[in-house]
Amino acid sequence: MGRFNRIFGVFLILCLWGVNEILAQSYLSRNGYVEFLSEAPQEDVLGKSNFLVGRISLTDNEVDFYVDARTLKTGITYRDEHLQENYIETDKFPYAEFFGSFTEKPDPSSEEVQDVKVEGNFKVHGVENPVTIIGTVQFLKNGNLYIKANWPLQLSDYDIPIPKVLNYRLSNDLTLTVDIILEKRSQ
Amino acid sequence: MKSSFFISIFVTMLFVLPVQVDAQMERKPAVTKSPVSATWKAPRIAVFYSTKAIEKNTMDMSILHTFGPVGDGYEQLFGLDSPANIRLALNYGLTERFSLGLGRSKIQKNVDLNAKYTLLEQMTDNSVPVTLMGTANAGIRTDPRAFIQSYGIGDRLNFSGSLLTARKMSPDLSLQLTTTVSHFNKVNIGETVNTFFGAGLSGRYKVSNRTALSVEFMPVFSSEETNYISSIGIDIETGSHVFQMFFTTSHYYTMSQAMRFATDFNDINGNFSLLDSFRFGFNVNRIFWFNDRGTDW
Repeated sequence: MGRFNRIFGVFLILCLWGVNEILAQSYLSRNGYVEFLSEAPQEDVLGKSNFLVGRISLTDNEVDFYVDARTLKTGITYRDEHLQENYIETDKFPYAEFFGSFTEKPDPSSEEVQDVKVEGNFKVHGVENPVTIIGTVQFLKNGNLYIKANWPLQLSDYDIPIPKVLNYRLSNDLTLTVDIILEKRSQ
Repeated sequence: MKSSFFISIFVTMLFVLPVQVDAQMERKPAVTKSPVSATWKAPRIAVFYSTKAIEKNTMDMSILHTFGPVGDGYEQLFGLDSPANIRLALNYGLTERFSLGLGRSKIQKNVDLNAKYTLLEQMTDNSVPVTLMGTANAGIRTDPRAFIQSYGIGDRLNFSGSLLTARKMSPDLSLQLTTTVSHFNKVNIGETVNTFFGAGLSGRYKVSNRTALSVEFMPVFSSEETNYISSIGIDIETGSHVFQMFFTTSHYYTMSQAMRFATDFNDINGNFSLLDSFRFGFNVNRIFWFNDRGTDW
């Protein structure tokens, strides 16, 4: 009995350790590129950040992305301050984030560019909405994973109103774009 | 017997738990240390300079007005009909820390060249606790009136230099200490003091996303007497404009003029009167940017 328990215990540990190994084969990057583009009649605003953090686990089918919104730069500090203080309210809600999964997992054995669809929740300004994002993934020769996607976002869906009397204009309809190479986790 | 089972469960947990924690990454700030932003929104608090820098390749155009004392009463529409001082100014950022400006004030037709230089920036991690800025201003009175015509070029000059120390205390509250010296090469007959010293306090308190209350107060010391500059107002910002509306004791905007003509809180008869000391004023600051840096940095 005791012997069986011991063997069972070791077996369980080995099994879960193995599972853990597989799970560890996820993809991660902390310096991906993300931008938002607002095309208003008077002014186009392009905000960029190179601090997009992304993690994808094919085993768990998890797609997890976030960016510290304070790193989004439009090129004009005054405008950045205004966007952060009055729209995104980064003091209260510092992150823009997405968590979801592939509707159909991409094939890691292919080196072709593959179209993928991701479903999940996007959260900014403390408001979370379900979104479906269409993008591409490509498993690179060196084992890394290259991801590109863009999708539309309505600021009004995230409780970010734009005052009508605003001579520097911001469109309610933004286009978000991500471009990131995730490195295969080594451990 | 049982214990070995629990040990195996425990060891199993050690392997499983990190996996569960991994499910959604912990959100961490990308940058832990950066300059504190938006201590002030406009290059001025009302009359005093603020530590707001005019960044590289942007221009601040400001249109500044102060009217007559509120105590002028209804017939003068509480000072609005009384002679106003108007200052038009352009400030251009040559680097992120250094800007140059040119301004002209209606009274005395004083044309001035001014500069702002950011010496230190307050950092979010408090490794630098304050923002330090030096400002300098050189003005010349171009008023053609007779008594001024006897003044040589050098006699018409005035100068001021300030050291500004500001700290954003919280997301809503910013404070600033302004220490200033100003000098007139020549003053009118009857005036004996050429050089003035001042140490002033200013504050800004955000009341909503786009509005803030601001105050400033400075005793001005000269060898003869102490006078005051004080203002209280409200700032409204719209993204490219900052509107400032306030009541101030100063009819002037350049620090040298403001200090020389600083007053006490009395009316002409020497009786304490806030209505005769304070006047309405407003600043319109418009920020222009010349390169679409959003697409090519």
